[in-house]
Amino acid sequence: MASELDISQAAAGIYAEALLELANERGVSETLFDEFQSLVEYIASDEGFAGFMASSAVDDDDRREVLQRVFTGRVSEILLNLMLVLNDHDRAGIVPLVFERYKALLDIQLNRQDVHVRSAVALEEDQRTAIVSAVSAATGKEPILVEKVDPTLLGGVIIKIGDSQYDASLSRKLVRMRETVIELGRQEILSGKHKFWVE
Amino acid sequence: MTRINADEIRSVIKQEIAEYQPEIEVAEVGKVLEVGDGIARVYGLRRAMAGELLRFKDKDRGPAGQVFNLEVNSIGAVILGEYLDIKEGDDVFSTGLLLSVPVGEALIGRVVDPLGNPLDGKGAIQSPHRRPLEYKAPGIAERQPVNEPLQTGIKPIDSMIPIGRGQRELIIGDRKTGKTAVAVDTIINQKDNWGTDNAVICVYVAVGQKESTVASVVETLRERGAMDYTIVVVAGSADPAPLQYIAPYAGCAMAEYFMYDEGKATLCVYDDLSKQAAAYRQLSLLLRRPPGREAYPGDVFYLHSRLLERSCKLAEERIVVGKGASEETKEGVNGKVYIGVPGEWESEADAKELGEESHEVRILPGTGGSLTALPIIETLEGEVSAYIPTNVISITDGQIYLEPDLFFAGVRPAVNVGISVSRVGGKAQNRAMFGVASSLRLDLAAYRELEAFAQLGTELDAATQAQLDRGARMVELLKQPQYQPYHVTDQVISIFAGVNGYLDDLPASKVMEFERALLKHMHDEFPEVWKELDAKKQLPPVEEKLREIIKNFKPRFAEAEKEEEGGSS
Repeated sequence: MASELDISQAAAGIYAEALLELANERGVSETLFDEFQSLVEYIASDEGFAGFMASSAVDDDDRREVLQRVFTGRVSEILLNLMLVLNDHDRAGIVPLVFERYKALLDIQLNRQDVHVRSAVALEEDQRTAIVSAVSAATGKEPILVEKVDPTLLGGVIIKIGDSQYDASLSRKLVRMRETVIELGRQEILSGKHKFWVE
Repeated sequence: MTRINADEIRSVIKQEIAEYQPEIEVAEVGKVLEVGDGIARVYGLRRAMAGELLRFKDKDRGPAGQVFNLEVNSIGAVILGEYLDIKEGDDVFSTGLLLSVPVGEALIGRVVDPLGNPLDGKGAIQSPHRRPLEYKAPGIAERQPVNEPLQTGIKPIDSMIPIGRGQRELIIGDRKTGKTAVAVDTIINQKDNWGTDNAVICVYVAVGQKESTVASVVETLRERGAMDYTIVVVAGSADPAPLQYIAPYAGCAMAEYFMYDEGKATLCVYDDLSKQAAAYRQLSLLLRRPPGREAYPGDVFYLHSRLLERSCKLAEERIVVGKGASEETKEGVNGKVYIGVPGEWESEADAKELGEESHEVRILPGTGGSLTALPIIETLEGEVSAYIPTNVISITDGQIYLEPDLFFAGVRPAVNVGISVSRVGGKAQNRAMFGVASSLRLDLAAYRELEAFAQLGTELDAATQAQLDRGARMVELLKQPQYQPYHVTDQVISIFAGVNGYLDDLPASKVMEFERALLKHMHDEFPEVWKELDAKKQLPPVEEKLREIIKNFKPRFAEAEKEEEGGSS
């Protein structure tokens, strides 16, 4: 049984598929991606505009007019048409979801994969290359690194590909080492008590 | 005075650090989309399986959760424990494990929550054993019919609604009719068995109750020495719904350890399942599962049936050994293992063939365990045809109905013996009790039929009046105070006196006093007769003696009564 989010995502998926097909026909799928990404980043940054797109209190015709006025000449025809089509179908609010699905489909088409890297300090170029080659050898896809600096790691990296997370951070190693030493120490002491007690 | 050798310890730790091999940890991680009311929506974790254990925030020590719903783009999970610290965006780790609880000797005498965390302030629970919360009930081949009694110590139950070890008997009634009291008395009554081969380990699961009520139950058990063999699992009304939902399964798992691994008899009281169903309903509605009748989810029957099916009597396994073989022997002289009831006869026959003088049959230790379930259901205004009561009635092997009318009329325990049933019944009853109980049933049935006439106050013929009088005295006989369970042999003597008419000439109000005095007399002056009846568990050998004793006691009682009245007036 589906929640609101599931239904919107299913609809977004359909629009994204159609958009990608059209973009492929015109050979603009990757430039469209960059443009689409900046639009979505803008929507995320401007609460007023995001509300304007999503709200059912705004009349569809009014919105159509505003979109045409604001975006004609500023974005490619295909992206403007997408927004107008979504508005006509009363789905102007799912633009960010359509982008997510479009990105996912494009990644599959181009054999790319997002790789989230958290490191204690910013990565050096050679480290980046090493990660990229290791991941592409393991997954067979072209890794797109999404980097984040997190000093709480103390050292090392945490790499997340899809659902799987590879934790090689120093903070985690210290936690595990502490637990292992306590456990082994406890066993050692319990098994050879006489060594550790002095009468 | 011992001193700890710090140098030695330091060198051990130093070596361990030097030899430590760090590894890269691989984990499946998702993100919390929304959280609240004990449930969470999780994004990612595409490979998570239904019922899998999840950990929020910290892979090893974070709050636990369980996968409930698998949806297209997210997972619906229930949070077991503190959900107030979990925020949107937090990491969620999958573990590949099923929910399990610590089980074993370390749990006995403790009060714990459904995850095994101690609640009684007596220190951490250290147990090497764990059992999964959900466990497949044994199939037909692994079981055998129930054949031993579980004595509750409550007269109306042990005589007319007897419970066997491995049975499921429902205790059902309105609020404040004494349902918990029946269960607690049953637990207390196992005190005499503790330390013998007949021992019963008890688990009391309190679901959705006031913590003050549970505290007083625990205190009662402790006062009467019952905590020596009892585990108490608590998910109170203030605890999150997921904990109330899993509490009965946790209690069952703890009892199952003793049944499967040690072949012991166990008793599990679920107090009460109505509240567990309500907690399950809350979870299902919050996770948007479609509501059915009375807003319960469609699988509320399965909720209870899979819990109660895990109660059973496991088949006993026997071997034939030479007389005087050591206790540890696990191999029969002929290499055969005899299973269940047919195994009992076959092994006896084979032992005879091999030589009765030199061979004997033994039950393999660790087999033949049992788990008896006493689920409790609260009805509203006596409505036993409501949804949950009818579900559980159809699952259990019988019901004990407690009625408010009887309770307020002074009949306590307020058991309605007319409509209460035990489907195992006499097969698992002490033979002596079986003998007196049939007459008891008839007397009470006749009494109930005639009760209406008693109200009219009309003139009745002698036979009818006699039946009414007998019935009234039997009803008095079946009353007993709370927390004072009766030994089964005492019950036999008491009921024997009643059904054979020795109480007919006493005023009904004196019946309880007479019974108490008679039993005391029996213990003080004829302990060997009592012991004979207890050992043989049959009436015929002692019947004559018993009649003599009661006949001689009656005038003594009458004398004592007159003296008392003379003294007081």
